[in-house]
Amino acid sequence: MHEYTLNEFCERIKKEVADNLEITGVFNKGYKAQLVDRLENNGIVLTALVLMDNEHNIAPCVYLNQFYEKYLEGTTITDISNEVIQMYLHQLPKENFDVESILNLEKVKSQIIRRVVNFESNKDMLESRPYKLEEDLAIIYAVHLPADLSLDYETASIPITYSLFERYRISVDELDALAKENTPKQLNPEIVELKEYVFHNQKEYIMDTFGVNEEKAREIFMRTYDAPDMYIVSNDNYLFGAVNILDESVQDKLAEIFGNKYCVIPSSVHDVLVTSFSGDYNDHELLKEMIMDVNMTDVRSDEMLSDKPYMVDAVNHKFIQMDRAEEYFKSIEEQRKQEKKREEILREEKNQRENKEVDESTGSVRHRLSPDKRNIKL
Amino acid sequence: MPNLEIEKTNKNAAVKRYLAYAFHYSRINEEKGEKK
Repeated sequence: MHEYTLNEFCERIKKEVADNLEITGVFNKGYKAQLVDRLENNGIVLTALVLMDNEHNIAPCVYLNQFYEKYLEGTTITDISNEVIQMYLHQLPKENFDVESILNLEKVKSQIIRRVVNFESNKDMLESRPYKLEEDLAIIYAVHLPADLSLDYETASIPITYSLFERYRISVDELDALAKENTPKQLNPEIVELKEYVFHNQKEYIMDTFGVNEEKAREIFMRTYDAPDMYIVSNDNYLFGAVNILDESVQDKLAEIFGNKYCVIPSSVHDVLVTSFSGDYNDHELLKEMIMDVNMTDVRSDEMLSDKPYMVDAVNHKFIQMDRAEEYFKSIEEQRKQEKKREEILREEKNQRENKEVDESTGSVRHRLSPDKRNIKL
Repeated sequence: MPNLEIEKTNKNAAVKRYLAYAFHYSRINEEKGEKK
């Protein structure tokens, strides 16, 4: 039997789904079926099926790539079409979406938030979006939308592309300043001990397996799970929360746990892990190897953030690539020494000035004795 | 027209990567400890 290519498969599903929905009478005022290639995070292109009816200004889009994999594994076209139809029926809009409010900066001002992605892997996507660089990461922007049950979602967002950004008539710096302030207000930053997070997600299983209460389950878990001291930084819904490591108050809170200098592992676009700094900058090679390993085996390619470890200088609120951190902290130390030296010179000059008093009436210079010298009895 | 993106947290994927990091990081620390 001929096996469909991805393109052939998508065309076939589009026809099957549209034909079936037409028979059921869902689109009684007409519709338009379209296959759209969408550029996702890290340059991944996904094909979406969009069925836009003539009643609404919003349409659900179903990505077909995951279904193509099912097809290759043996699921029939009929079964896949039925599944896609069910997804459509579940997501059909009940109301029109208020597009006008999204285009009006005053209305969405407080909902503009920041996210962070890898710069290098998203160069194509970044051509159509305003962004700011933070080391080798790009800060991008979105309008965060609160839960809307009429459109059946709990969290949603609208990416700020140039076409939307131009309507706002502000600069990238102004956009960034707004988003920087809003991000922690819209999506509370979370700092959670990794051990606690894993326990929270496995406690039901432990309680069921051992027939114990939560307290006992915690005891069993902590005794058997020998995790390193790591903290997860994200937001309260664990979606695109990695950006919170750039938040100054988050950096300050982490400094209370790890001191003013600590390491950051970019676990995904949703979160980062923070660990203490061993004092050895050469660790970046080991950490890099670990990150590459985990990215390859345990992180979805569209959720990857970076292959490099980073560090935070919590005193100066700086986020630095770890392979450049030694140089950075040396220059900070050098600056600190120079400043100290400058302060000493200034203090010395001030002392000298105070020790000299010009008697304006006679024009003579009289040296004021320092306190200890004044006590000397002649 | 702007794209509305509906987002869902994937807790299982998160736990998977956190456990992977906990495992690898512990191993690195052990290896470093042995070298010392």
